[in-house]
Amino acid sequence: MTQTAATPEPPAPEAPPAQPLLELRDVDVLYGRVQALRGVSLHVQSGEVVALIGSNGAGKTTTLRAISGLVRPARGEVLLEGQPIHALGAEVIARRGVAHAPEGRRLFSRMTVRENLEMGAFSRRDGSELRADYDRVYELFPRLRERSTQLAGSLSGGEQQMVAIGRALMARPRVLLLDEPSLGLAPILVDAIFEVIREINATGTTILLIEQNALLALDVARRAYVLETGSIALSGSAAELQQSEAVQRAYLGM
Amino acid sequence: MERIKARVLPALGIVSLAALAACGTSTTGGGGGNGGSGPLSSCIGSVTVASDLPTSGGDASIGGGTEKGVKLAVDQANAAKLLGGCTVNYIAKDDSSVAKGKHDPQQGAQNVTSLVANLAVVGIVGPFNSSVAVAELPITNKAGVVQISPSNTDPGLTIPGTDPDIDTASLKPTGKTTYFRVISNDVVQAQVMAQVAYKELNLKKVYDIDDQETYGKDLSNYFDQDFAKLGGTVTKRVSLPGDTKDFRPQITEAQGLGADSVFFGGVASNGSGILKKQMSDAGLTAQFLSGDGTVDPQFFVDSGAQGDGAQASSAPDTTKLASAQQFIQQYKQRYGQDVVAYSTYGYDCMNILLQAIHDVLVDNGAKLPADPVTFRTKVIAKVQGIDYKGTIGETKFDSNGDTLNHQFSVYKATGGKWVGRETVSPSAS
Amino acid sequence: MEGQGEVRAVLPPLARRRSLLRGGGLAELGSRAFPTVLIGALVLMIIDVAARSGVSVAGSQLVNGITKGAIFALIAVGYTMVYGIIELINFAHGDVFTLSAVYGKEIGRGLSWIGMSLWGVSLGSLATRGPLGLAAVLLVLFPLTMAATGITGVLIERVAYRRLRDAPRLAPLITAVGVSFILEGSMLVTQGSSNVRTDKEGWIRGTAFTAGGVDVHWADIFVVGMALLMMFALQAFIRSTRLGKAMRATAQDRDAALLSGVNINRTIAATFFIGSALAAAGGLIYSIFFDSVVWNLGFGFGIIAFTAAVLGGIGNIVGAGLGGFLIGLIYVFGGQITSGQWSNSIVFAMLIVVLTFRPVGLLGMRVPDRA
Repeated sequence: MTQTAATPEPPAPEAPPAQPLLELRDVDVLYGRVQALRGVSLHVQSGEVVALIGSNGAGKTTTLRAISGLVRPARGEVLLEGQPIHALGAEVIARRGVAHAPEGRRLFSRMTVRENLEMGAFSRRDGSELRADYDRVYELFPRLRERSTQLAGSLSGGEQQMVAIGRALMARPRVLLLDEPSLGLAPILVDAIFEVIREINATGTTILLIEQNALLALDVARRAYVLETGSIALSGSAAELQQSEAVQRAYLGM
Repeated sequence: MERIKARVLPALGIVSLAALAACGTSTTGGGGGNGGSGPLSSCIGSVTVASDLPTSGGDASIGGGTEKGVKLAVDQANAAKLLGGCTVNYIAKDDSSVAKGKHDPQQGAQNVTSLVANLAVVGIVGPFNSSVAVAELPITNKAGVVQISPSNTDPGLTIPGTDPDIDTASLKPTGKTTYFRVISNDVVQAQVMAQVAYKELNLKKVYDIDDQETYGKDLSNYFDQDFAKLGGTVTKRVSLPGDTKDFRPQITEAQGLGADSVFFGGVASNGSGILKKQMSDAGLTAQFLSGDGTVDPQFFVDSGAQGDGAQASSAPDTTKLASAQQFIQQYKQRYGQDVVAYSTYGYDCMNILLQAIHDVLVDNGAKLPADPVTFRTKVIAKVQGIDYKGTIGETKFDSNGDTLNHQFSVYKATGGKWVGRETVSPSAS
Repeated sequence: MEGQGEVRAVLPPLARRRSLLRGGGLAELGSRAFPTVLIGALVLMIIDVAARSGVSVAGSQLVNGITKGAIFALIAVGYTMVYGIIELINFAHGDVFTLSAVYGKEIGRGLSWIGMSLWGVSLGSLATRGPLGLAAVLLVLFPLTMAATGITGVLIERVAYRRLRDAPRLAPLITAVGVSFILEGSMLVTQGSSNVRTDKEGWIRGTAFTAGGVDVHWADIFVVGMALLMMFALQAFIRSTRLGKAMRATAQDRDAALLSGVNINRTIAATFFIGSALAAAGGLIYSIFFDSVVWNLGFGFGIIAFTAAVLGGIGNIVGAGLGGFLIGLIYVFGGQITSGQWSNSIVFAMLIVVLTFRPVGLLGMRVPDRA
């Protein structure tokens, strides 16, 4: 499978025009004896939306966790604007501008919506601009304004997803990591969420996105990487990958 | 010293290979009609005696002072060569455990197990607490080693059927009496206290708290019985764990019941002083009554100035007995402290043991019985038959091992000290 | 499906146990009826005492129970905070309470020494001079003792628990028991095995008022007032400060808190500091009330306070406070109807009943698990 995929579309070696905002170099991650990632290298340019696609267990979530510091790479480097961050604590990485809306949303379920958003801005010191950012989140997700005093645990799945993304945005991130924003949502909500993702990107936020629904992912992303059993099997522009027979067969259900 | 020589004639010893040293000492025969070291001057070897008392932790002040009396008896016997050519070795065990921070039956059982396994040991003074005795007695009885307690007062230790919590027969698996005590049991003590409370202090309604230990529960039981028999009312009987620090609910209740007195059946380390203090703090004016377990300096640590006025029965105040004066002096000289309530008792216990050993040796032609088991058995028989006039008066034992000396005193807390009054014997009720 | 699993995973295991019982209609019924049955039983006990001993006795016992409960409550808060944040039953917490009383005694002696050298005034004489003197003494003694105890709590976490944070849960639990032994042992060695006075005799004395034959002492008011003050202050702190929010966030989802930039180590250390400082407030209040401490005092207190925390809903601070007061009342009234010897047993039977029928406790966090 890896072989087939490799034939038609050699990864386009788009020479990075500038220093990537985020870069992984040859990253290995081990969970005990199980190797979850092997030699993963990828880069995200400022302003891009990049998608990670692949089947369950391919290592997509682990890749994001390695970036945000929730797991430590056994080998390799994670660079943010050329600076290595893989040895830093997750809270330090967060303060450097990497916001991660994790798998399963991971809201503070016994806090209100508003408090969850406040936690998103926890490490920010620029109090004066906070109000504008709340407004921005509430503009993106008007539902959250109505629900702001409710406990996050009492919200519906879609609303929780909005809080998760909103919370990540409150950090004013330089790069936003989104893990399966569409998971478990009704189709109509999925469209809405992706619409918001486009808007967020349009205002200049760089996004690295995991999505099982490859069609959606390739629709919103500029470039994408295909992960298979812990390694990058394919990469390229979204358009190229959409054309790839292998990707079509494996992930697009064609 | 001379007194001692006159009274205690001890001696004994286990044949030890290292007994050479003893040879030189036995030159003087002599010892006059009082049976000094004369008959034993040819004795060779050493005898080992032991004590098991709570000498650290919460009982340290009273247990340690008792042990000092025991040790003084041993040292005086050796200094006076009262065993002739034989010497006395002494092993002191502590039955307080770190886990409990005070006397611990398990620790006591462990101590006597190791003592009886040491075949050199022919007798043990102790234990101090009745709860510890329950654990130790079956062990020493089976091994055939005599135990003499300075302070155990639970009647169930010797008299079947007097304490529902104690199967007296099980303490004597061999059926033979190997346990003796020089103090009267709680039945007598409670009788004395009930009489003083009802007749002398004119108290009619008591609120009774025990500390859930064998000693405390029984003392409270007997006190309740006697007090009721005399015509008093027991308004309520409660049973609180030894670590109780807050007696206010009971004090409130006693107030509500109109009690004119509160009896505490228990030891000072289980909170009698705290109870007394909280009674004063709460403005409860009822008379505080207790037994010998409370006659302990710890009572005043806990109660401070509010301790004054409490009354408690205990073994006779030996500081008042003419027979104890010399010992009290010697004790003070030796340790630079005053005796505690049981120092004299410990001293007499050890002297009784040494006297018994001496008598065995005399019977045996100034030789240590070769067989340790025989030796131990003979010592038991001599203790049983003893008639000993010591610091606490005359001690003889009945067939259960109880003393025939039935005296108690009432002590009153005055200026941060327990002050004993005259000795009281129970009147026929 | 997966979302629901996630929400479950966020709930601490005690709360999760609830789902084990679900399906048994009886258990569900027991859970629902529990608060009513508990309050009902307590009211019946109070009525029983009132009927047998008179209303004023019942009233006095109510005061006894509430004052006792106030101290349980302050200790329970520390259990619940630590459990909430690292799911550790910190068995050493009761001993931290004892330790604080010892600190209070020693710091008081130090202050007395300073006072005697500089102004010829001892702490005790200042404290018993009048309300102003007392206030001055308390304003110095409380912060110092609470800070010293708080720092001790932080050190305990740093030395004993931090390394084990990701170890199987049994490891830190056993370590906590070990820490408890170490604290008790060091107090046994330094303080001796008997009760020790804390030099606070008569600091607060006298009857504030008498209502319906019930004497309410100033000391009673002090105990309850201080406990409530501490707990309200804590609640406000947790609700509205940045650190308080970090603590709540860490308790609810440590990874998510990390991703929000929360320094977990610092937050957990702060939790230990605050929990220990509150135990110190309890220790000082206890010292002023009873003027006595013994090396193993915290053992019994700790277990009862832990029961209070479970009763209120472990992890829930308001619940711990409520649980403390309820347990105090149950202890006193339960003791009244059973001649004292069953007080402890009733409290622990309570623990079993709670864990069986309502493991989330009275105010346990019941997160609607939609999603």
